[in-house]
Amino acid sequence: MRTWRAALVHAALAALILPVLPLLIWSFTEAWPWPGLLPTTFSLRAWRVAADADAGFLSGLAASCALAAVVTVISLAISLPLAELLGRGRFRGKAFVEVLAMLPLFIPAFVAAMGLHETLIHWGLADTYAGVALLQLVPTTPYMVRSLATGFALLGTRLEDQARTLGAGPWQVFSRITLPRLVPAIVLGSTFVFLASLGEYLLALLVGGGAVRTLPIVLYPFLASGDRAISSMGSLLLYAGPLVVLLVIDLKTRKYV
Amino acid sequence: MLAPAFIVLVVLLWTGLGIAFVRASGVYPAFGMVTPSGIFWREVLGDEAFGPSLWLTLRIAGLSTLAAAGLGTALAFLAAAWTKPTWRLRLLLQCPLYLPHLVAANVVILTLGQSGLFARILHLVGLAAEPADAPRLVYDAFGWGSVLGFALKETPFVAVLVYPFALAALATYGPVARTLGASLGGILRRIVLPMSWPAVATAAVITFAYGFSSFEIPSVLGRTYPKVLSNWAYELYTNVEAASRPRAMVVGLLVVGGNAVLAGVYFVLAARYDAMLTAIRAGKTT
Repeated sequence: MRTWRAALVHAALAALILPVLPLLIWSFTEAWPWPGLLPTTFSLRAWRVAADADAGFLSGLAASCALAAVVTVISLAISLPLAELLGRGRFRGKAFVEVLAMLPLFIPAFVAAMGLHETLIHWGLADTYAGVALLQLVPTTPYMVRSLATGFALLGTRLEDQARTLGAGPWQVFSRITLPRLVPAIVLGSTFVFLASLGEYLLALLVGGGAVRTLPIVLYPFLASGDRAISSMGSLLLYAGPLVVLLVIDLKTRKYV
Repeated sequence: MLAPAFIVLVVLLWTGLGIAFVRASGVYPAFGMVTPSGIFWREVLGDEAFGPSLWLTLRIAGLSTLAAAGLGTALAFLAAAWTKPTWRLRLLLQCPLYLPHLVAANVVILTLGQSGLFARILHLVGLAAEPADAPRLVYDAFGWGSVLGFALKETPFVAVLVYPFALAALATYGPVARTLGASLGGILRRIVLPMSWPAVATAAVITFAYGFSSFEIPSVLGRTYPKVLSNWAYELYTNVEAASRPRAMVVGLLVVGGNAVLAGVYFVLAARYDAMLTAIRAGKTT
């Protein structure tokens, strides 16, 4: 009784991810004429395009991963002090600070990017990865702040107080007590920020102005043109590769939860 | 120590919006416009594309939110009632959660487009001789493709937010209710649903806000006219005509306004979310 019900729930959840399967089939397809349920000829054409340096898919993936990694690290660094304040502090106006920190989740950053465009040109940040990274920090950092603030709230101050009583310095307390205990919150926040930056298209387009060639920018024209083998291969690169890496990280850090 | 976060979260965002507002109000020195005026606001609000665009945007955000909230809540309840919180369950919840918008759009084309898998299955059962006989779900006037794309993306998100509530409510009150003779259906309807509403409502507001402002899915799956507001703003922004830029800012700011209202609702609900979850776990809700 219990087993088939659990299986049913798992199947229903799996059904949400099942639509991804056609991506895999299409990426190996040469011809899939109507109304066949399976392709008539398979080929590695799309994956040869992936390996072709001129097509820009691999360099796009590398650029996207590097950009997402930079955005994640900066987001983590700038969020830690604010998250500690929100997670453990008690002060007047805390609710207001929380609202200010969470609002960028709701306010579409592309409108701010349109407003800032001339300023970015003036600073030499338009059409650069640095400019895209700066703007991508705006909508992604609230995830990091929220996740770290919860981590700080759960951590409390007792362990750190004890360490200080036993003579630990500020850096020792941070590196030996605070940081290891925050690992689950850091992993959660980093995962969200990394994935949000990785799949982000509009800011990379607006601020990057064609000079920034992240994977979504490389992929988009193929979605519109209808070369399904190529667009499916690109989609898999964007989705499956990073997903596997993140799930492994999730599995490895589970012991901390 | 707080300065960098302040610069990113407050200065960048609000300066950008402030400049966008100035440009929208007709002050755009780069294009030789120096006198403030409301003409671009009037032009956008009076544009014949405005009504259809707003209606399309609301329709896509509303319907995808309804679908995702219903399905996600049902999934979360069943997962809480019928399974244990294992890593496999988390994996199944997380995989679709991480789907990038462009990939979700591609998935919709491959499965629901007129030569996609769904149409081919219709052919198999004799309901569509040609691709054109299959229902037009992608590049359609109504926006079904975008509705389904967002629903696919947001259903697991709703499930993830509601699941801890369902789990806590069942753990705290499930055994008592069962002893008193309640069925599982009764427990879910009478106990778990009323206790989970802050989670369902919070998830729905976030989902609606994303559907209202998001760019990629309707950009890939939509028609050239009408466009959703964010797509329309981008089209105006990249138009070569000088007067187009301030109009783009107006459309963008309208999206900002809509989402600001949704954010207000979210902050009220989010306070309830935390308080309610704590109360349920402690068994203090009456």
